[in-house]
Amino acid sequence: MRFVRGLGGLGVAALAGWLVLALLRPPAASAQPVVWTSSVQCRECHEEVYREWESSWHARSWTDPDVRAPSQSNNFANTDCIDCHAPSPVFWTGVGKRVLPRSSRRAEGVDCLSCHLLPDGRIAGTIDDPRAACRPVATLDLQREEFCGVCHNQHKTVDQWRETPYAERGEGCTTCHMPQRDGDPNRGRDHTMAGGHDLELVRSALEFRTWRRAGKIVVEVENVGAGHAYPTDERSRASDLWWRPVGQERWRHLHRIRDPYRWEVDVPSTLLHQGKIRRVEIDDADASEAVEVMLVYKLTPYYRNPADGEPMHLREVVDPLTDSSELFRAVVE
Amino acid sequence: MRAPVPLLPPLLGLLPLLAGCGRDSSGAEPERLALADVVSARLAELDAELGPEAPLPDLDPQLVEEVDGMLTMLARAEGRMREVPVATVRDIGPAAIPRLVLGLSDGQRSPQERVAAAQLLGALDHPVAAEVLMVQVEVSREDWLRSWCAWHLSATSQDQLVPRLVTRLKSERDHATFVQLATTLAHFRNYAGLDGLVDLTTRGASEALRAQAATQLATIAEQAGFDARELARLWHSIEADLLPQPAPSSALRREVWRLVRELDGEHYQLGPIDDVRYALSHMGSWAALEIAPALGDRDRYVRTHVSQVLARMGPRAHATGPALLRALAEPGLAPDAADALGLVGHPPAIAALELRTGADHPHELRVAAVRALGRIGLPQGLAAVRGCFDDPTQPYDLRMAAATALVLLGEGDRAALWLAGELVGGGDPDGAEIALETWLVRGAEESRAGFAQALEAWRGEAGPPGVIPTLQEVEARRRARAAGLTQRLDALLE
Repeated sequence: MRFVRGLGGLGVAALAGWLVLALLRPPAASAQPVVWTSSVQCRECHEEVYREWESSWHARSWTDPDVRAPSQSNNFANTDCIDCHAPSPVFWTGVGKRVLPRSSRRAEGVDCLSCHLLPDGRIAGTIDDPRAACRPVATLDLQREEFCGVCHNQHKTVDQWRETPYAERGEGCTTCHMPQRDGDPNRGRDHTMAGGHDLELVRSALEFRTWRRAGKIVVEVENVGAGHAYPTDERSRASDLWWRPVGQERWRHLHRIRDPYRWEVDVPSTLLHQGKIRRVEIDDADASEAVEVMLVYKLTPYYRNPADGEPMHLREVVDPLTDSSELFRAVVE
Repeated sequence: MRAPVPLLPPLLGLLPLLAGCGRDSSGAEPERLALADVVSARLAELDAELGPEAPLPDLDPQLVEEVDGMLTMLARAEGRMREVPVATVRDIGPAAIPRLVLGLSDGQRSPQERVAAAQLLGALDHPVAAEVLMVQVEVSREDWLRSWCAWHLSATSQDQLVPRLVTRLKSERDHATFVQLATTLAHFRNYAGLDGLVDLTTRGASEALRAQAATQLATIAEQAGFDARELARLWHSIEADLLPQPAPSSALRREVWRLVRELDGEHYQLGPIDDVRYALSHMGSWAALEIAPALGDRDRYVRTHVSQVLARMGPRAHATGPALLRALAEPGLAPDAADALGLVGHPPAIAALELRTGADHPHELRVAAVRALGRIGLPQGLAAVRGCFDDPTQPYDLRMAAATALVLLGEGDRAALWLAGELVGGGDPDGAEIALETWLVRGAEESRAGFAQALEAWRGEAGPPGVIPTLQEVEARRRARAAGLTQRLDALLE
């Protein structure tokens, strides 16, 4: 009997202890709202994603020396650039709406909060979990092309994509630029968001062919793998074909693939749209013997003189690789 | 036994926060704006005032030959003989416009005849004729034609074209045309082309062009009653009102409001928005006051962008300070309004801005308010800025904004050590670098011991001018600067 009473006493004590603990513990139903001041706050729980983003060009949109150069944003004295390089959270302005600049944490560029912060302070994600610190809300809008489009369609990238079979198949921005980690749907999407700075990705979008026919050299570039035009950008990105007789030092410009800025009214758009082939010929007496042909990719439309940084005319360029990246090269006998 | 919880130090730590960051500034709360359809109402008002455009009268068929003849005559005439065709076409009036347009756009005609057509269109001083010239300035691929059309607009009173002429400054690549654009704008008492003109006097494409820019600059300055340097300074200053002021026509006011409407949320592409922001922010101080009521428009995009435009105008828009102060009470607009208050320079806003540095305000607003206090640059703002900087528990970019503001407020010594530590591995090394350079420049200007040498060493790490560094080169530069500055810092702070 004493044993039973003892057991009962233990039970009461356990119940009382549980009650005290339950009263002292914070409620599990929902987490306290976080005051978001930096994407660094996301790192605590999302280390892997944070590290991926940190190595991405989205994270460098404010710090990239090319963007800060006097000829570009001039350290963002050209405040027009802030709209996309340090945008307000997309969900604040609205998916499909024009993006607006933000006033704080600009050094973080296009950061976690730019894409995931909701107007009510919760976080757009893939699951609902009111108990998590960031109170994520499953938000399908994150995968809409119009979501990326608030900045990237300023350069018509999403419009270009809509014209391709990728759009018909429902393969959007995330398919190529945010693939599932290790191909595993349970591992989430890669936040390095590889794009125009990833030469392998750029190279994989193209086929490059050369041959000699009737004394002329034919060069073909085909957009086989980009779900938009190549390159997809107004103003900055460019791709050039160069050639030279084997053994010579100076390269000669053959063709440029680029969309001019809106006030370059005398420059035609030569974008290579999805699935299209660009064929150009080298019809030059110097090309009667073996020649080298090269396709390069550029993040800026001009070639800078390595000595003083001043832009050079294409005729003045000796070695394009001082200010561009080689994608393909071939020798045509 | 558990150690007692040390409560006193954290409480003491809160004292400066309570005293500084977000200190009580009762009475500083501005009256909130009442939102309305400001833009559409103003446009309707101006449309009613201006009425519908009158159609051009038909040209008497018998005069067709005469207009053509006057065009040819002007192309060949010299001296006072040139006045005859101008007077004749003026007598014929606007009916001559379509015939002159044919002459202007006819690629088979000689350049002299096409320029003569431009001159006659300008001489008519009619909105339709001026519009024709403006379109050529905007779209012609022939540099000489753009240049002459811009020049002949200066013979007109058609000031409604000023915003479009300003926009051309942004994109014009031909130096000779730029000179004409700047000159025509000055004729309308808009001095947005002045900086470019000054630049062309030394960097123009040829000796002749540099001389032309210098001559035009001197003429503009003389007409304005100032020397060129003073004219440029005034245009960017709170004293812009001292410059000769235009009497903007209703047509110009309507054009300005039409541009404000372009800023609304209905438009998606940023490119045209950039152009509108550029055009409006390069207008004179009268335009700042004209568009300030749009801070109370119902459209959020209009409110935000008008605030940005006033910010970009800077001190020239200082008279809009009271309107921006009221906009500070509008939650969606407050960060932009705070930024603008700092850039236009409105000291009466200091108390309201101080209040908004407090932790009970949204982070966006706190950062913008701190930045604004620094830009206004008066010591009344110091306490709140110090409070935000001194408290290590404050968010990083609030502290960075406060450190930069301290430099602008003359208390850079307080932040220099922290900023030097942020050059390498910090959250905003670009911000730290800019703030430290400003601190060194100010110290050197004030002839403080060691600052001139420190600035020289700092600039010595900059790399060749014009060459855009790689990320790695930027990091190496910052490491070198951090190391150099750290060595000198004790001496500089003495």
